[in-house]
Amino acid sequence: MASDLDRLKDLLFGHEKKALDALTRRLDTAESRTADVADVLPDAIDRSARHGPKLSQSLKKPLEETLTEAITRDPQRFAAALYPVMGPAIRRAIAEALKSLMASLNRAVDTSLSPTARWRARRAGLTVAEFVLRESLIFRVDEVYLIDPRSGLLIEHVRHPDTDDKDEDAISAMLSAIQEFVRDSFSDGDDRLASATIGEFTVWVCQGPFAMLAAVIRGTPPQDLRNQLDMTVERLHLTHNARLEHFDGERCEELAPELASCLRYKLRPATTSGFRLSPPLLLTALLFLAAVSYGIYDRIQRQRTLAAWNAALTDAPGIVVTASRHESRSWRRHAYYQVEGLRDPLAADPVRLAVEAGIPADRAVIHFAPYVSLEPEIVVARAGAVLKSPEGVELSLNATTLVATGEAGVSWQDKAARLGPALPGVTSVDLSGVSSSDAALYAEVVRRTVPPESVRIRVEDGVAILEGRAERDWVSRIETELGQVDGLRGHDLSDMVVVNSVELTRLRSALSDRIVAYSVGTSVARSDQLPELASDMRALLALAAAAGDPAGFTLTGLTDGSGALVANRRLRAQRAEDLIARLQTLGVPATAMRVGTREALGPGMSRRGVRITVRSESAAQ
Amino acid sequence: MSTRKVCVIGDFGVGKTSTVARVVHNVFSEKYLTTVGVKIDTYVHAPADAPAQKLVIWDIAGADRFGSAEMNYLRGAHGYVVVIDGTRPDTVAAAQQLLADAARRYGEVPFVTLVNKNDLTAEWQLSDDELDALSGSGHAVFKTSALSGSGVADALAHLCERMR
Repeated sequence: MASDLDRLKDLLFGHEKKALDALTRRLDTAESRTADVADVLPDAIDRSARHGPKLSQSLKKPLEETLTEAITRDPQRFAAALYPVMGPAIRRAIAEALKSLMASLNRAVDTSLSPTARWRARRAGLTVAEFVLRESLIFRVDEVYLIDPRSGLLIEHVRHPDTDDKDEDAISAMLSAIQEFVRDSFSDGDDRLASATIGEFTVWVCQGPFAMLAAVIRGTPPQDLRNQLDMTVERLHLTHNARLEHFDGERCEELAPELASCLRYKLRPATTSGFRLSPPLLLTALLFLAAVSYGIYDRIQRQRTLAAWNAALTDAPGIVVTASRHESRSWRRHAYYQVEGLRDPLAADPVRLAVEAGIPADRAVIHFAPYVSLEPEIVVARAGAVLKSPEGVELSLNATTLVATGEAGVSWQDKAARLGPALPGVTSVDLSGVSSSDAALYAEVVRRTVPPESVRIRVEDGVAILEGRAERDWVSRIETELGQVDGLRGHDLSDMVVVNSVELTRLRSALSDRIVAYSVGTSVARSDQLPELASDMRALLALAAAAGDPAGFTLTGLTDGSGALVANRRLRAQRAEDLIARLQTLGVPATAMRVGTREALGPGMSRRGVRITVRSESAAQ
Repeated sequence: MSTRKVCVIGDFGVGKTSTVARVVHNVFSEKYLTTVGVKIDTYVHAPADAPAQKLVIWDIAGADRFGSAEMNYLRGAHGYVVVIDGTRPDTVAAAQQLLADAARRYGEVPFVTLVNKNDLTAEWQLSDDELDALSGSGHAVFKTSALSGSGVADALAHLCERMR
């Protein structure tokens, strides 16, 4: 039955049944379904994308999970796949970031850096930013070479943008040669050079079977950098083993990102370093600083003091300083200040100038040789000292002409005119500005003393000189008067003859008609009265002469009425001559005495003795 | 640009350094020759019809004999510049020996032969027959002058082509 029904179905629906079976098989077979979906999937995605974001939203999560898993499982595959895009982008980004860092550093330090740092930067041939960066670097990997150890050829090279562009192929080969050289020269086995230091640079070399990594490091690198370099070499051999093993001279740019990761650097912390001073050290440092500061201060002070003294000496006329210095003869002692040079004896006292500059007199050491200065001040001072110029005279120098002004006596003017041109620095003397003061003084002296005609007065250089005769009272009075005349420097009375009229009159009276008694018949006078007589006679002669009226004496012998005429006459003559002789022995000049005749006396003279009469010699003449 | 290691070899006093120095980029001073025993120079060959090549030229200090230290420097070389002194026929044999030693140690690599001191015609002692014989034995022979540097660039260009 069943087979009949089947046959009938075949007859009626055979074709459709085959198609249905085929469809069923197709749907039941995963492979065929996959092929169907693969056929329509691109168009379906395309159409779905045109109709909205539903498909991308649906795919988002599974795709993310799938990618995450795939990257986790095999990161290198994705890195290699993305390298052509990512490598250049990363390098560009690193370069841009470093450029940006340098630019911002430039701006920052340009506005804040001290002139000293700028100068040091310029001297080092660096920009300010480069200089600051280098100063603040603890270390920086400047270059990384990956070298084929067999040929020495460079596999790849990266460097910091701040470093100079060099022929890296030559350096790579030289590094390789040096490796060979070191191994041949200093190693028995297969040891290689691992590190080299040149100045501030260190070269670290990490060996691999097919690649040698050399890092050029500025500063002091940390040990973990060494580890990183070793790991980089290992990783490169792991991921690019075939490329390295069969290196053919073509650069391997795909290795650059891996090498660039080794371009590390580390800056010093911005804060001050961890160096701290212990209190005792700090105290010592402070004391040292204080001592140094005091030393500097003290030295500056000494220099200033010496400079002040030096300036005062240099400014002083008649002093030439050729050398000056200060020195301490032992530590902590006061300084001694020393000057050497030339000094005119009339110049200022250098010790006084030292004291004024703050240098104690006993600390000033002076070695000045004498010399004659022609500076105007000194020339004027010398002229004043030599000419002994009076107070009222001012001296100055006009070129080589000594100019005197004021009041001075004629004699001083004569002296100035005579001696002035002989002085050093003076060729002529100008006295036109000097007025004589003696005339005014003369008028005042005359007014006060009212001199008698017999007195002549003159004033020279302020000194009143009086000559002639005058009464003792007048002379006594004018001495007081002259002392009260302003400007009069003194008076000279040595040529003044003092006249005493009163005494002269008294003596004239006492001596006139005086009789020296003689005993009867003798021609020898009593000697007891003669000395007083002679004294009075001498005084009268002197006073009369002083008064300008010379006097003389006439001695006339007298006899009484007794006796013969002839004998009496002889006796009279003997008595007069005796007395003259006796008086002469007592100092009365013989010239002032003469013998008179009795007849001249007239009648009535009957005495025993000698009569003395005073006569005026001027009247007689 | 690909790079190639080229070693300059030859007997002592044949003028290796002075000949090469005329055309290459001198990076390091000659003091390295007396200290490390090798000096590195570079040379870029940039023909119009082919990619440029950069030669890293190892100028190896000449000595009375090429010792093991010098031989080590030949490791990894892509080519040799063999220098012979045209006034000293014995340097031909020395060069041949060097080439043989290098081949035994590192295998065959391309090379060019510079017959130097071309300008010293009065003292020239290598006959054309000898030079022909040398060419016949596989040497690409170039007459060069250390004085003018003539012939060196051509020799390096030839070597570059052989190393491609």
